[in-house]
Amino acid sequence: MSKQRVVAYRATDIDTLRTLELTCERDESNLTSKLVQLNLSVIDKPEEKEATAATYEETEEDGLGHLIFEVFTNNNDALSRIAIHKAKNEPHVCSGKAFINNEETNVIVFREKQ
Amino acid sequence: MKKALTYLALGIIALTAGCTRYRPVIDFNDQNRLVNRLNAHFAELQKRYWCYRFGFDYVPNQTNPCSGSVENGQEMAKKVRNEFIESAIPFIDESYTNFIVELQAGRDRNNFVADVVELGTGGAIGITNGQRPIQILGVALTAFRGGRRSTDLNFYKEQATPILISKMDDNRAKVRATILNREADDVDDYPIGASISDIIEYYNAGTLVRALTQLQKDTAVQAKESENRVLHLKGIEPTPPATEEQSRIAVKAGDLLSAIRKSLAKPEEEDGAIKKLQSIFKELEPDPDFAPFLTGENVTSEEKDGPKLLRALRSIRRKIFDKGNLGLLDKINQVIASKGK
Repeated sequence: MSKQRVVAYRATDIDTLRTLELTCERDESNLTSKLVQLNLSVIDKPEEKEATAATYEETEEDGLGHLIFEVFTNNNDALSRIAIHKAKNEPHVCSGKAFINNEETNVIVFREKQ
Repeated sequence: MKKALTYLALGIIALTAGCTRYRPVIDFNDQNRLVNRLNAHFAELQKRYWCYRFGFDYVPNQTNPCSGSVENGQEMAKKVRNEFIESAIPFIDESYTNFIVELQAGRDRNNFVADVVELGTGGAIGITNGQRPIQILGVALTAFRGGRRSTDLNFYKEQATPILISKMDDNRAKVRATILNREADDVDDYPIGASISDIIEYYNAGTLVRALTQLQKDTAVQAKESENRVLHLKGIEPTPPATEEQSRIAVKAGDLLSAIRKSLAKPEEEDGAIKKLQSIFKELEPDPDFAPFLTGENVTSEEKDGPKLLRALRSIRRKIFDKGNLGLLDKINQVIASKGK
């Protein structure tokens, strides 16, 4: 199994979904790794704070391109979004929870067609 | 007598169990199948589609209706395909509406009759005299309740009708969204065969079998979600968010490294790719901030092994990230963006 890294983004730092998208794209490129999971988390350094944990898995592919981040409401909404993006050849990357502007948010991620 | 009863029991088991089917049956000649019925009903539209698809004009009521030529055949074929889809869907919608009305009304009626039978039998037990008749009514009532439960369990998996209908509505809405989306695609990306397949999928989405399997899948997704708990990360420092520019340069650097990796695999482009990688290293070498990373990878700008240089560059970027030095990452990405072009 490829090496995985968990990267934490402070809840107060990610003000919009776009910021999270740009941050994950930057880190996918710098780590030559694919985003595989998003979770709510609590970090203990430098002090105990809420954060979004993004898990990246190393790959040999450079140039992973752009990601599409969307908010979903429930399972049915997530499944229909997956179906719509599948039709556009935009594969589902992961679905999870993240802090957006300090609020718990359901986030679904797709990879842009290259 | 015992023998006769044993044979009777075995016979009943054989008849009720039947033969299990392990794979679907394909019969291209079965005219009752939905695909064949669609093809037959819309035969004329399909002829028009194929004529336009191959750039011919369409002349109806001819042995060979494709003749001459049309300029925008692909666009006309797309219109015919969409016309075909939108003509087929109302038939499925109508049959679905009839189906759910019957399902709801039929199940309500059956449940009402069954409730009356149960309550009536229960009441009869209370007013009947004699041990034997009461015993017979009791056994009959238990068997009747067992039968009702078995019907609910085996045919409806114990789901209420409104839940099943709402699931079928959801399934159909998802397929409809996909179809509407794909109608924008041209005929190369979304041929008529794929649209027939989507229409069949739309029909299947409104069936009880699909509703029940989808409900099971949803339960699995919910179970996974509950595992999606809050993580307690120990010793992990937070990473600052990216700016538009930072993200743009990082993605661009990744794209250029991807292009270099592809060039390394082509003999005619290999030399050029190696030179690009060497020039990236040459630019990094004088910078003291990169010195420990370059020494760690044991590579210099003199290295002629392209894949080794590329691996070293990936490893350096990962190590700088692990150190949390995003400023240095911006620097290396800018070098890659300027020298890797």
